[in-house]
Formats: sequence, structure tokens, C-alpha cells
Amino acid sequence: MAKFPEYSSISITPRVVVKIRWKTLKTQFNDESVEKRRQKWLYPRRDVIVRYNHIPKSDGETLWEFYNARKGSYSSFNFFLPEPEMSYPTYTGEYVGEGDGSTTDFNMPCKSAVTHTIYIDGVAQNDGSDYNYTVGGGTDGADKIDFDDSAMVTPSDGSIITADFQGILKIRCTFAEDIFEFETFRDLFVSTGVELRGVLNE
Amino acid sequence: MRSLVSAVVSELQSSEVRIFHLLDIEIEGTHFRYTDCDIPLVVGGDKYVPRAFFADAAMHSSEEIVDKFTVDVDNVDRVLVNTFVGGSPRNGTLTYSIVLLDENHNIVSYDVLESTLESYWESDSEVQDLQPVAGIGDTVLGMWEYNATTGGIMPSASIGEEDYWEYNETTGGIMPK
Repeated sequence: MAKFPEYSSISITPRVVVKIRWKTLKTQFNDESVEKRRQKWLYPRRDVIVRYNHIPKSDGETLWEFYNARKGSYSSFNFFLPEPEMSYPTYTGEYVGEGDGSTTDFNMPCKSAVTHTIYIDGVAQNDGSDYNYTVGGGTDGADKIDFDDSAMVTPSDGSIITADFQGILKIRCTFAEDIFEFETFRDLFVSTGVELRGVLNE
Repeated sequence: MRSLVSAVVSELQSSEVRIFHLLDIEIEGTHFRYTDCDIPLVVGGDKYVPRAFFADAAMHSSEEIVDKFTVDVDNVDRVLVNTFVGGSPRNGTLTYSIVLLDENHNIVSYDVLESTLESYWESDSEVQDLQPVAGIGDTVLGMWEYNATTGGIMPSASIGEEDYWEYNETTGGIMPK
């Protein structure tokens, strides 16, 4: 897994817009009185639009190289929201991952969390006895939970791990587009923004 | 006709539905278990992984058995190709189920919609088009082949191809073109 170029490596901090995306199947026969809706996703995806006020050519080239290293929309990467000016926001019921009966380490969908609660199939777990939490210990600097201690129970196959936390959100995503030319790519960053398409945390 | 479990029926009758489907394709002892849910589901001890698929309406005969049931499965990663090209998908089985989740995503109920369909299969490149048919005799253009060993016309497990047939005046039979 790669991560979007560090904010410190680009001379300007971006303006980031995050869109929550759900998926609902609606009947094609709906009228004003009756509408049937079917939930297609249990967890939302977050799409991101990244804009810069201006972007030097060298920074544009850094982002361009990153885009090509991801092979357009093919390869996913981690995108961390910028540091907030005030306190970290709180997130609830975020998808962490799914147990398979053997995996004991899971990357959190956040970093630098100041509070956290982990759930397995909706049941809150105890930090230190049910799991260990390591700030910045995961892939790309994300926080990590592990069930490595002998007294801890490895999440069973199919069990769903979710989390509440207060920290910097990590969004696993891909570029939304496959085709760009450098000038357009760079211009988009300072005009409408470049869109990233969210996928589930990993 | 058969009945669904009451919890599933109630959910289907509501305006806000949270159901997902399970597809279990068994070919030569290998199971391909998929769900249209966005996360894996473990049902009955078996794990169903997310994969896009679309099931067409099941067609019932007058004897109230399923004659035809078509499922299109996303095959962009070609995971099914080897099984269909190198294996013998004919007479595989397919189980299509429905699962009901509560607000906490726990499984409330589960019911098999269609099961144990003797099958033949047709596939193309990115979408695996699975068409189980109960019994020989359901003639569908381009899905049959002449078997030189048995002399019979058998369902074809073709890959992106169609077979064409013509009337043979000499033998009076229908032969592959």
C-alpha cells in the first residue's frame, strides 16, 4: 500500500472536500406514494476532491509521478485528511476489517487517534486485554490494532471489526480517472480538483 | 410452490429492505461462494466473499421445478475462467440464497431460493454467464454441441463462442455446422 504524497513534501497544504457515498437500489416503479429502497452497502465509501490554491511545477511533477506509479485508477493508496486546526473530529462505527481466524494485525482507518473503542461484531473490546492499540504502528503510519498476546482471541472468520475514534481519518482510495495529460492533471489540482474514489479500509 | 421464511417475507414487504444474496457455485467439488454484500458474510459456516452478480428471474415449468435460472457473475479477474476452460462445469450445482441482516449487520434469517440445479454453463470474457438448465431438451440456440463419441447432442460449455446447426438432408438429422 502506498500513501498520497506527504503534505510536508508538497509546498502547499491542499483543500480537501470529502463526500460520503452510499449505495441504494430503488424500485423503478416508484411513484409519489410508495418507494421501495434496498440497502446495497453496509459501510459507506468516502470520495475526496483535492485542490491546491496554486501548485509549483515541481510539486505537480511529484503528484504526477505518484499518479503514474498507481497506474491511474488501478492501484489503491491511503489518503490521510490534513491536520485539523481545532481538535480532532470523532468518527463512529468505522469499518476496520474482517477476521479470518488467523490474521491478528489490522490497520485502523485513522492515525494519531486520541480516543478509540474497538468492536467485534458490535461488542466493545477492552484495550490491553482484548487487543493492543499502537498509534502510528500500521501501514503508512496508520494506527494499528493487534491481537498478538497469547491471552487474546484472534478474530474469528467472518467477524466484523469496527471502531469509534477521535483522530485523523484515513481514506483508502484510488484515483477516479485513468486518462490525464500532465498539464490537465496539474491544472485540475488548482481548478476543480482531482477526484479520489474511496474503497473499503484495508 | 414453496414458501420463504416469515422474517424474509416481512422484510421484502417493507419499504426499507436490507437483504443480500448468496451464490454458491459448486463445480467438481470446488465451491465458489459469492455475496452481493459489500463485506464477506459467513452463513452456515461457509464464507461468501463480495462479488458483483445479477440473477435473472427463475423460470418454472408446469411441474413447478426451475427450468432455467441465469446468473451473470463479474469475472473481471478471470477467477472462473480456469474452472470453465480446464474443468468440467457440466453438471455442477448452484445454490442461490437470500440472507437478512439487522441494523447491526448480524444475520437474522437465511433461506435458500433455488438449489441443486443440474447445470450447463456458458461463459464470456468479463461476465461469467451461468445458465443452469434442468435436463436436456431445453433448446437454446448456440449452447449445444454434437458429441462424436456418443452420437448425441449435448449441452456445450463454450467460452465466448456459439455453435451453429444445420439440417442434414442425407441423414435427416441436425448436425453442427
